[in-house]
Amino acid sequence: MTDGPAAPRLRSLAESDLDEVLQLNQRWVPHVGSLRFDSLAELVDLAELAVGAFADGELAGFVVVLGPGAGYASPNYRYFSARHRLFTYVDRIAIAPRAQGTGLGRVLYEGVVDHARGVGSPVVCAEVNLDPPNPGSQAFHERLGFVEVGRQWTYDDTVQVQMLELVL
Amino acid sequence: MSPDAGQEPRPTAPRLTAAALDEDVARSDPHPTYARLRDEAPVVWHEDPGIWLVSRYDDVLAVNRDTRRFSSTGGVIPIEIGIDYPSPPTMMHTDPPEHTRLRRAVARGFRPSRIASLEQRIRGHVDSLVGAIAPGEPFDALEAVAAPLPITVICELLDLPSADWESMRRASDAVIPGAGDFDEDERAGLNAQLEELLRAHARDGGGLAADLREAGMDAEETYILVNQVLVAGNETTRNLLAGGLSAFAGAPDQWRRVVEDPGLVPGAVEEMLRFTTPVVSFMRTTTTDVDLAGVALRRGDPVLMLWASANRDPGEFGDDADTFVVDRHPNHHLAFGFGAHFCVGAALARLEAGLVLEAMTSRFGGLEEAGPPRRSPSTVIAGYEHVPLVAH
Repeated sequence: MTDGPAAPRLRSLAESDLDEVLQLNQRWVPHVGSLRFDSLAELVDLAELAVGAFADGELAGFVVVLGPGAGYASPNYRYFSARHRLFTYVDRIAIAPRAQGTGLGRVLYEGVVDHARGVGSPVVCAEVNLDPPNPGSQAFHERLGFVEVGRQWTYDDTVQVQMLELVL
Repeated sequence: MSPDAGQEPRPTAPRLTAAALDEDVARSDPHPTYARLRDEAPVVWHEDPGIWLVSRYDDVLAVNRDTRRFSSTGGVIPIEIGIDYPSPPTMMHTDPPEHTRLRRAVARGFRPSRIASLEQRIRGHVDSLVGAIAPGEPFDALEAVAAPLPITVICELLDLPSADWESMRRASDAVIPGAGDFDEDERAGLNAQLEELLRAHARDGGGLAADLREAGMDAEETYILVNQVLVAGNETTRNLLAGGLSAFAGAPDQWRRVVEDPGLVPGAVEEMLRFTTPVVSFMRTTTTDVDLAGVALRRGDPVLMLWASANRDPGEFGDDADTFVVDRHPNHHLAFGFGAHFCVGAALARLEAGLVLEAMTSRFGGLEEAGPPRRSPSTVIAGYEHVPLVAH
C-alpha cells in the first residue's frame, strides 16, 4: 500500500470541462497552440477522441485526437493529411504541473494507441516544437517510439515543429 | 404535390445500380460494374429499394468514419430498410455512445494477450488441416482449410467444450441463408439448437462470454454479442481464406515470392484482405441532410458503402488496383471498415490468415487452380462455394 495520490480517472471531455481544459491549454502555450473557448469547443466537436484525466475532481491532463477527413485547418494536421489516408492525429496533449512526472502522459498516449488500433488506424501522428524548443516533449515522444518524418515552420514562421509518427 | 418538390432530383443510373445489386453479377464478377460506378456515378441513387450507392474510396471512408451523420441504427444491409427494431439486434446496429459501451466489452475478449494465447493452438489446427493436403492432388480450399479453421478458432475463443464443436460447425453453417445444403426444417432445427447452445454459454460459459459478463453485460446482451462474434468471425474469415487462396492461384508469381521470402506474409495478408474484401458492403442511414462529393443526400436516406469497390479504386491504389500484389505499399484498404465500427476481430483474422499462408507456403512451392472457383450469389458477403486448387 502507498499513500500516494489516487490514479487519475479518465473520461471523455464534456462541455462543462472546457473552461478547465482551456486554462490548462493556455498554461502551456507556445508548446501547444493557443485557443479561445469557441475554437476549443469546435476542436473537441471535431475530435475522434477527447479525454481528460481527473484526480480529486480536478483536471490533471487531457488529450485531443483527430481522425482523417476532419476538416481541421491546422497546418500540422494538413501535413499529415497529405501523407496518409488513414491516420490518428494527436492535436494536443497537456499535463497539469502537479501531475508532471507521474506517468500520466504515457497513460494518455496508451489510450491514444488503443483508440488508433480500435478504429483501424495504421499510424499515430503528432508534432513537437523545435523552436521554441521543447526537449522534454521530444524525449518523451522518442521514448514512446515516435520517429521524425519532417519539419515545418508554422504560425507565420514563428514556430518550427518536428513532425513525428508512430507506426502501429 | 410530390414529396420531392423543392428538392434536388437524385442522380440515378438504373442499369448500373441494378447490376451492382444483382446476385448473378456478384457471383460472376462485380468489379467491372464497380469500376463504371466509380467513373460514371460515384454517388448514385437506386430506386428499388431506395438507397445511395457509394463506390469511391474517399466517399466510402467519409461515410464510414462519420457515425454522427451516418447512423447504423437503421440496419447494416439493404434488406433491413424500413425495419423498426425494438432493440438493436447486434452491436453493428448501434451508434456511439451505446456502441462504445458494447464495443469496449467485446474488445476485452479480443485483447492482444487473449489473441496471443490462442496462437499456438491455432497453429496446431492449421498444421493439421494443411498437413492433410496431398501434393499434386486437387482439393477444395473451402473444405480443406477455409471452412473448418475459423469455426474451430471461434470455439476456442468462446472456450466451448470440444464435444460441442461439431454441432456448432453445422449450426453456424445453417445460420447463413442460402449457404449449405439444408432443407428449411433442418435449417430451423439447427438455428434453434445454436441459439440454445449459445444462450446457455452466455449464462455460464467461459472465454469471451465470461469477459462480457465481467464487463457488466446482461444475459441478453452477452448472447447477442457472442452470437455476432460467431457469425461475423466465422463467415468473413472463411471467405478471406477461400478468396485469398483463390487470388494466389491466379497469381502464381506472387505465391512464389512469398515462398521465397516468408517476411512478405504480413503484407500478403493485407493484400488478401484488400483483394477479397470479405464483407462487400454495409449500409448506413443519414441523420441529417448531407452533401457527399457534391451530391445532396436527404435525412433518412439509406447509404451503401461499397467497400469492395473502394478497395479497387485506382484513385487510392493506383492503376494496378485490380492486380494482386503481395507487397503493395501503402495498402490502406477498408476491408475491416474504418472508425468506430472497425472490425473488432481484425487481429484474429490477420493471425489466422497469416498462419495459413505461412504453413502453406512452407510446404508447397506452387499453388494452381484445379477448376474455376464458384462464388456465392451475395452482394453483402464475398462468399465462395468451391475453390478447387492443387498444390505441389
